Amino acid sequence: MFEAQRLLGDTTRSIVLQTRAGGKIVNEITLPPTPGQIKDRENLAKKFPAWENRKPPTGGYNCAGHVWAARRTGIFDDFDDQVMTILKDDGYRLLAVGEELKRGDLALYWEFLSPRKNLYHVGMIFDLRSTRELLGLESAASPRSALIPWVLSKPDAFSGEILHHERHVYFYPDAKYSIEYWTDRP
Amino acid sequence: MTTPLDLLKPEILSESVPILPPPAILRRALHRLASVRTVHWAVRRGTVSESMVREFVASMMSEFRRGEQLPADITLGALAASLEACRQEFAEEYLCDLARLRLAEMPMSIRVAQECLQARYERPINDVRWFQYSAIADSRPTRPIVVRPIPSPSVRPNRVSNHKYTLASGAK
Repeated sequence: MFEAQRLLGDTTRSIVLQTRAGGKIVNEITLPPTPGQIKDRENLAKKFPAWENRKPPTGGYNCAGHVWAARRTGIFDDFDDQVMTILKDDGYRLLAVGEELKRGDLALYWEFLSPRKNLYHVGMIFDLRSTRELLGLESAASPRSALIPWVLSKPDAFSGEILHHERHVYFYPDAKYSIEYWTDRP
Repeated sequence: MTTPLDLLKPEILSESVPILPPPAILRRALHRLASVRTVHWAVRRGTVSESMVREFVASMMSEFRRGEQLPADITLGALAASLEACRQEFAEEYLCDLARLRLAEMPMSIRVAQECLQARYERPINDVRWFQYSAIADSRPTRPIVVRPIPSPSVRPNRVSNHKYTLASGAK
């Protein structure tokens, strides 16, 4: 099967991508989405009215490429291992219990945490909004109200970039996940 | 005429899988779909034959255009998930042929096939094995043996406790 496609050889495109320690990161620049894929993602966005679209559906990179490759390429192969290599080599650390979350920190969505396995998604903390602000009770964050992280991320290789509540994510029906926060702050 | 394979067509499947998570997660998400399970059992029961699969793959690949995302990429991935645990030779052929491609036009199906192959080889299976006995072995005389059923635990004498009892009584 796929005899004709085999004759095409390798049509993938990638760039040189390394961690700070010089570790090689296998990557691939994806093609633009099809009209059908764009429509699917627009339909999904309708189920999450609180999503704020920053960028329409686009190819080229995925969530990991958005966070660690400056939107130049996507990271797909050995996803868990490569992400852990980046976190280690680039000097990220797990946020301590009770430590304040700040803009620019990362939210990682794992299926299992101990040991870490099956990373669904990664996004960057873009905003911290108070619950009172979200309910329209006041315009600015109140020190007494809880701050909820809002994440800027790209749900997949063919979607756009969206700003969303940290729990307003979709992987597949009934997917269970845990969020872990990582930071590059000392 | 519709076949179970039609359940995997992109226009139907995309409603169930609106976004494509990383390959390992996508494989598991596809396994949860009723359409994927239907095709899996149809292949195992023989309702979907090798020729039907080949024809279906050919029809999906007819939309292949160099430099454009293949609309049926998710369909090919779902078919890989369906065939993962099927022992037919064409299932192995499909997974191997898809997994060894390096095409930007179908990034997800290729990676799902790679995940499926890995899972397929890790899966313990009952396999049919053929042994060829020599002519000497065939001519060797055999004699019938009596096979007695093993008594169930409730009626089996507890030898260990009896042994201990004997020892204890002997010590006294």
